[in-house]
Amino acid sequence: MNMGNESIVVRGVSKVFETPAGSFRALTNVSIELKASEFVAIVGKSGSGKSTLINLLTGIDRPTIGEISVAGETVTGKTEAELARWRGRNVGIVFQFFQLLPTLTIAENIMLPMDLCGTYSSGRRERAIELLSRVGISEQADKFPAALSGGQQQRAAIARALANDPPLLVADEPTGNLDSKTSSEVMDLFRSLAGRGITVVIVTHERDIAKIADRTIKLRDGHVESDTLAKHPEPAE
Amino acid sequence: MSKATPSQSTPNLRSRVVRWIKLFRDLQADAGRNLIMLAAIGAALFGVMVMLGAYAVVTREVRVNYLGTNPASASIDVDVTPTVLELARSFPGIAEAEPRSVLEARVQVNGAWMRMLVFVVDDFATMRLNTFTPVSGTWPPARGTMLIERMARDVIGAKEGALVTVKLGGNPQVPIPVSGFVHDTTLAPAWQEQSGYGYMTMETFALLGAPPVFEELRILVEGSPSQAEVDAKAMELARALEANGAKVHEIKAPPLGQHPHQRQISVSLAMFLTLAILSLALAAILVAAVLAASLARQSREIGIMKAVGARSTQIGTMYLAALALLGAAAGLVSIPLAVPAAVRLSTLMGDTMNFTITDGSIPLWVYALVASASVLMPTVAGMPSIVRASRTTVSKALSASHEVASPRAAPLIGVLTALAGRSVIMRLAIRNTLRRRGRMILCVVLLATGGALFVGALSVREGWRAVAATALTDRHYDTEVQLSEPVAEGRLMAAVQASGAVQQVELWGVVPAVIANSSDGLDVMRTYPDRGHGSFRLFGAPYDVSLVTYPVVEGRWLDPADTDKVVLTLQSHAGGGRKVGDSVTLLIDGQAHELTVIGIVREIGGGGGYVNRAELDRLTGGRAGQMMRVKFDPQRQGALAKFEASLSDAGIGVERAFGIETLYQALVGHVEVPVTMLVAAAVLLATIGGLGLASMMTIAVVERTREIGVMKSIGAVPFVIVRMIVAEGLFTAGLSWIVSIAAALPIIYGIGQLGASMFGIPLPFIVSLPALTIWLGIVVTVSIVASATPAWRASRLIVREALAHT
Repeated sequence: MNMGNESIVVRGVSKVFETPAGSFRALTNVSIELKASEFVAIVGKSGSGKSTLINLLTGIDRPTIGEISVAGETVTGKTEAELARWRGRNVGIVFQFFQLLPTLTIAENIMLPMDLCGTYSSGRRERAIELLSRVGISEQADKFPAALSGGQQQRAAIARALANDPPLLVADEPTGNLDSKTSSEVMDLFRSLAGRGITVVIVTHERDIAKIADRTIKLRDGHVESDTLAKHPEPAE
Repeated sequence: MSKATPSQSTPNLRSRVVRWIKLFRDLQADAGRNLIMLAAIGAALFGVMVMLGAYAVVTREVRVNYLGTNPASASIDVDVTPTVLELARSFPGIAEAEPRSVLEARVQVNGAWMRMLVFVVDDFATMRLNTFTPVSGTWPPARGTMLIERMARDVIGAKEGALVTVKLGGNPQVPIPVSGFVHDTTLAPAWQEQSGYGYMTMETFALLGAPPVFEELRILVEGSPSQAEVDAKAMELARALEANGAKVHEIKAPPLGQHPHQRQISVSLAMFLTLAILSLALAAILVAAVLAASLARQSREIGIMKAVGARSTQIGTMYLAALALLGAAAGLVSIPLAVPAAVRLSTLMGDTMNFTITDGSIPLWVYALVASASVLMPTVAGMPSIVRASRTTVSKALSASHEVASPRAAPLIGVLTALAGRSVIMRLAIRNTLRRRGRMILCVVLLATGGALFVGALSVREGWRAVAATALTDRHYDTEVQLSEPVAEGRLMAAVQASGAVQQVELWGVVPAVIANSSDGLDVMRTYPDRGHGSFRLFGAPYDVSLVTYPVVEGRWLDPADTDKVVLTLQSHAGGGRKVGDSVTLLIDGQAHELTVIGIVREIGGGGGYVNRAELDRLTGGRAGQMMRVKFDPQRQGALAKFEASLSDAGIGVERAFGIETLYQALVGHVEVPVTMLVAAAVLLATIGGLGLASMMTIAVVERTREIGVMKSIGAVPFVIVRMIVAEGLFTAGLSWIVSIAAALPIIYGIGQLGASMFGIPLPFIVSLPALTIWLGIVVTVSIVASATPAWRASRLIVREALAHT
């Protein structure tokens, strides 16, 4: 492993949730290092800590102890506002239920992160259209999300995640709401993005994920149970 | 065999209790929003209770006050000799007859002379008609002393036991001690009329240098006569008096049993009551809208309750009970708070209209009505959504989506979105506002109604001020001086010259007149015996009038050669519907004269007719009063005092001197009370609108929690969220502002037309720019305050929790 090439470093991270029913330990002393351009699948049963881990990676949540850095920048210790700003520029998030804002058109949904982070100020729409063509739905740019199919909405959500050209793309069950054909198209899209230099981390239940992911990390009860590198050759650009 | 349960009735009872526990906890969980709703209904109920309470108290008290004075049915201007009095008292159908005199004198206030009405009473102890009541001091006033109306106390600066200096016409001024104060409810407040009111016996009056003769015969017609019967009886008596050799000058019969300001009071209170009821209706609709949103969020719970056996009526009853509870709580808080405010408003109206609240208790029916409204309004308004929600099927309720629909691509939305420019956040804010159109319309309607009233009221005031200002621009003199007795013109002008303070002067003639409906020389004037509104004066204009230029609306102004010709003012013209070319019969001192109308002029702050001065002398047999219109030398300090001193030195008596500035102030003062009340109603509506906006924004934030979570997860910092939510509030406020301008226009036009029918002059159509600006400031502030808490809450949402929100 090339130690100088880690995109994400998770070191000794634990997460404890205080609930009225008592403390709940979601992650215990997890340490992983992910390389740039790696396509990583996080798998595990429900309650194993998958979503908690990616919430920590994206700065949506903070570890109870431990440290996380992305592209050399320490995430832990930032304020909410700093985290939001950092997330906008460094992390693209894709949700299971797409989570496009219903009152914005598809193009506007993609322009929103640019607007929020003040990026691409002279050519936001052009960039949105370009990203939409990359995910194959540029003709849907001026429709509202409700007019699109699930697969198209997820492609739009991926385009939105790429808006600010982040080094890290995180997807939580991105195919959980899609049929199998669309699922595999979306997975291929992620695969190709990883090939272009973006670290892609997806949480999934897809059985065949190991066939396309570079690496599969399996969680169980808040611990890393296994961390497996794929045997398939890396696809050429 | 089944086992016996502990009690057959327990499960049913417990299930009922559980339902109410759920209801209670739901109310508690949404405490913030429920408090806002409570405040909205409470504010509206407060308004209704204040207005309805004041309405009930004031209408009752005005009647009690006025009827308590035993108002005369009519008053006949005649020298009241013992014979006349005897004839009147024994006249069939006349229950009471008393002599009285009302004269215009002047009282010295801070060195200047102010108008004072002097009421001369035959016997204070036995007086039975148009009575007034002692407030303090000695009653009846001893010889050589006088009583002062309580509201005139401050106006003329009178103190009990101290002297006031009174002057009747050109007679020497007489210092008279004030023996005490009285309350005379039939008079307009002294501050409004800028006049003193004094009461004295004939003995005291004689000290002022006037002949000791009563000039008015006040009568009370027997039984419960109609207005027509009163008029007929007064005419009958007047003719009988004339047949007996008495000279009847005028007959005055005020509207029967009505306080001079009764109509004004009832109309304004009824109008404000309507506004309060409107605000209550809007508040109820607001509550219904908030409830509909809560029900949508509770649809799963409703589904679950139905799945475990709840019937539609049980669910419906729960939510109706919640609304009733909310309404009752609002009523419990606001009704007690409104009671002192209603009494305060009644007292304020009492002070404005010069009546005393003898009993400030609000009738029970008012409490009953407002209490029922507090429970019924919200439940009735909420009924449709409750019925809909409780009738839904289990499967529908359980599968209901909380997602808010996308906007349809309507052209309006496109236009509005274009306002946002390139900012995606602003587009988001605008489209979010338009998502729940019903709610947005409700908030806009609430705020815009307030805005329309506010802008309407202040615009009408501005329009009225513009009209009142023409009273200044059409008159080029400073003061109008009416002489107490005729003076030879040469002597008068010499005195004027001697003052050295006058730049220009015109000598006019003036005489009270009546536009007659009958031509036998007697007619009934519908005026109160206070020499107030409704009087008609005929002026004799000099040939070369230059100190007034009233715009001619129709026909022409007088020519020096005109005889038997009269120019009427718009008010008197509008009242009688007379046109140029019509003939009109004027009664002057009981004599009928037929004149032809040759012109109609617009005169603000006056009313009457104009003939040539020579013509007036002819009509009155040279007995017309003299009036000077005087323009003072602007260089001279204290010109008025010098002028008056000069007249006084020459032994010339002044009955009244009336500056045009005073006229302007009196005109302007007329609209202050209704304008203030309209502004108060606007503020009430703005408060309810603000509360509505606050609850709508709170609901919107709850409904869009997940969206806000998504925004934060893709880089929105808290400030961006705050900006978006506040922009949504501002957008609603802005829309309401635009709507309020549109809604204010018909209000301004309508009141302007009302002004035309009341004053004979349509108000100019003016939209007050300062009012628009102030209202914009108000709605912007309201919207920022209303959206601040929801915005802050939204910005504090924890992304992980927000994303998990269902």
